[in-house]
Amino acid sequence: MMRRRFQSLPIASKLRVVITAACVIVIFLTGLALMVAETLILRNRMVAALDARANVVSANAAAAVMFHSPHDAEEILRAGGTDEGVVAATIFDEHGAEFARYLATPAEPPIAPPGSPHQHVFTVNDVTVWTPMQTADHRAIGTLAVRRTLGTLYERLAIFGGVTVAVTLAAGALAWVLSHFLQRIFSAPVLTLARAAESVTGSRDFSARVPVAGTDELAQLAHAFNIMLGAVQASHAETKVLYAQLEAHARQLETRVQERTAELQAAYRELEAFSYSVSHDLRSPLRSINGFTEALLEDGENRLSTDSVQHARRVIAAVGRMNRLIDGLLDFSRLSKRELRAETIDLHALARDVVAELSADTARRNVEVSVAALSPCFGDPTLIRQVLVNLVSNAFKYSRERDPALISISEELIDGTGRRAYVVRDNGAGFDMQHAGRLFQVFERLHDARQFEGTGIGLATSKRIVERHGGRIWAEATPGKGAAFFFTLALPDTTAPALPVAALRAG
Amino acid sequence: METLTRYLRASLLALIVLGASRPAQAEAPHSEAELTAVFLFNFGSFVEWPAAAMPENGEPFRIGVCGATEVAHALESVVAGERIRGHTIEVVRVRHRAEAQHCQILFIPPGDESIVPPNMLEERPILTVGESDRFEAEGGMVRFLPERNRLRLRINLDPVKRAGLRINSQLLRIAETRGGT
Repeated sequence: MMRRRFQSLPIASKLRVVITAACVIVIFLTGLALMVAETLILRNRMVAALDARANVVSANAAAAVMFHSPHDAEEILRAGGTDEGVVAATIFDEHGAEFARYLATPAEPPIAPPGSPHQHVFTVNDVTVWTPMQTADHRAIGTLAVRRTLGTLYERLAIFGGVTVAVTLAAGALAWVLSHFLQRIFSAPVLTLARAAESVTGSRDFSARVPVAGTDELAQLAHAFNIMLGAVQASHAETKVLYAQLEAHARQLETRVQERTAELQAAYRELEAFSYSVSHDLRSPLRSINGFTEALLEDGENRLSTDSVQHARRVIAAVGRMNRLIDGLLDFSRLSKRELRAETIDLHALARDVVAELSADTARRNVEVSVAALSPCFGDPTLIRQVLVNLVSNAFKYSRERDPALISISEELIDGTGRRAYVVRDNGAGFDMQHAGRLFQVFERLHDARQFEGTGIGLATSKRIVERHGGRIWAEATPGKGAAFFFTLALPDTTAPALPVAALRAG
Repeated sequence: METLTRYLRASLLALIVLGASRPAQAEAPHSEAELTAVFLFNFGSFVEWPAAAMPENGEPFRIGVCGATEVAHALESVVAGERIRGHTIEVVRVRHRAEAQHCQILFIPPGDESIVPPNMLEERPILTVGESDRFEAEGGMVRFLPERNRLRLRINLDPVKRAGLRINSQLLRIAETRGGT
């Protein structure tokens, strides 16, 4: 928590905190060390002073001990006891028995007999020194023990401690103030640098530069920063130029595409208008041909030779074919103009309807037509019907020579995709798969018109319708064995929820 | 574990009892002769003799005892192995005045003043020690005054001064002094 707070501080404050903390810690530890040393020295001095004091007293008291005068000894002890801090003194004879005793207060505990001839013992409150008493001839005559309080020691330590704390606080304050100036020296350039970096990233103004003062590491850093800014500025300018060029290029391309598209659209529209008007305009001469040929037949029925009548009838039949051709062409060209009116279609019903309609023309043939259950689809009913009419009538047409002719309308799973396609199959003439690509082109016919009549527009129209419904149409066949026409419809159903294809596939 | 604790407690008790018994042993009362002998020996530490009066190197420090064989006997056991100012100590049994000539300290017990009357030593630097009024009257220097269980000292400073001896102030402090104004 503390650490996180410290890390979030600006460098200037960090420097200040670190300098002040280091100063305070060093001074406090120094004070503490001095205090410990002082305590040890004071203790040693106290023992030495007490020893010296004890030696004087013991010299004074030697005679009293040697001449067995405890009373005098006690008087000497009392005289010695007036010394500052001495609270108890006792003389033990050479056998360790107490000979004379002085206690400053009656509450003072007596001094214990000596454990060894020369020793000192510290307690919390006092220190006791035992000193051997000797004659001039170094004859032991007893032991003198003196005890004094440690009051002076504690007083001095208290003063020392107070001074240490005061000095530490003063040094801390001084360090805090001085570090403010230090901080200016060190952090001001860093702050300038940081602000420059911020303004560069903020405004993307790469022309900004940091003022460089001096030659220290910070100045080097500022210099390096400036160089980097220069490099960024150069590359930024270069990028800008490149970008502008690219943009101009893209615009040029776009206008070119638009021009081309417009041209294409114009050409296409022209072409359609042309084909429409051609188809339309072709009708009036045809009507004339048809009308006059019929008039010719009526008027000259008896005058014309049998061959001529035959020729006239052929003209009328050819005119009929040509009309159908023009109708197909008109349908085909209208498809691109017509708007889709999509709705949900019961494809099964539609297929049965189409089959019933087309079967009426082939009542004399033996045809077996089966319509399997078909899932409903979404699309323009008129156009989808036209697709079915085209495919089914093709099936009837190309199976003409079979007995029985087999036609089926069903829905099948497409290999490898998991999707379904509607299929119209027959057992008719089929075709060579080599030419499958040409099948759906206008006026492309794989079979001779004399063998199988037709305009060559139906499949092209179907393809166009299926593609307008987002679907695909293709065919598979074997010559002489029949053909299968597949188509899919992928117009998004706006009235029913989409089939969860992924779920179906997983299942 | 319990036996160990009990053993430790017993040892501690023994230690305390033994320790307590020591002072009692130290306070065993001296006989008067023994006390006299110790004091005589102790004077050696508190009196200064003129250099000429001290024994030569290798010579013993002599303490003379007139008559009283009990004191001499006790003194002999007290000074055995001890030294005064580097000299070994010899106890001299004085039966004649001439035998006192080389002593540094001379004890004249009551009744034996006739053997060596203190004033007959002609102000020689010999510390004379006695116990009687007569001794004191005849110019004796240090007198023992028996008092209950102990001996007090009385020092006559005039004869001491005349003999050229100096008595340590510590000794003077615990003694009763006369003269020497």
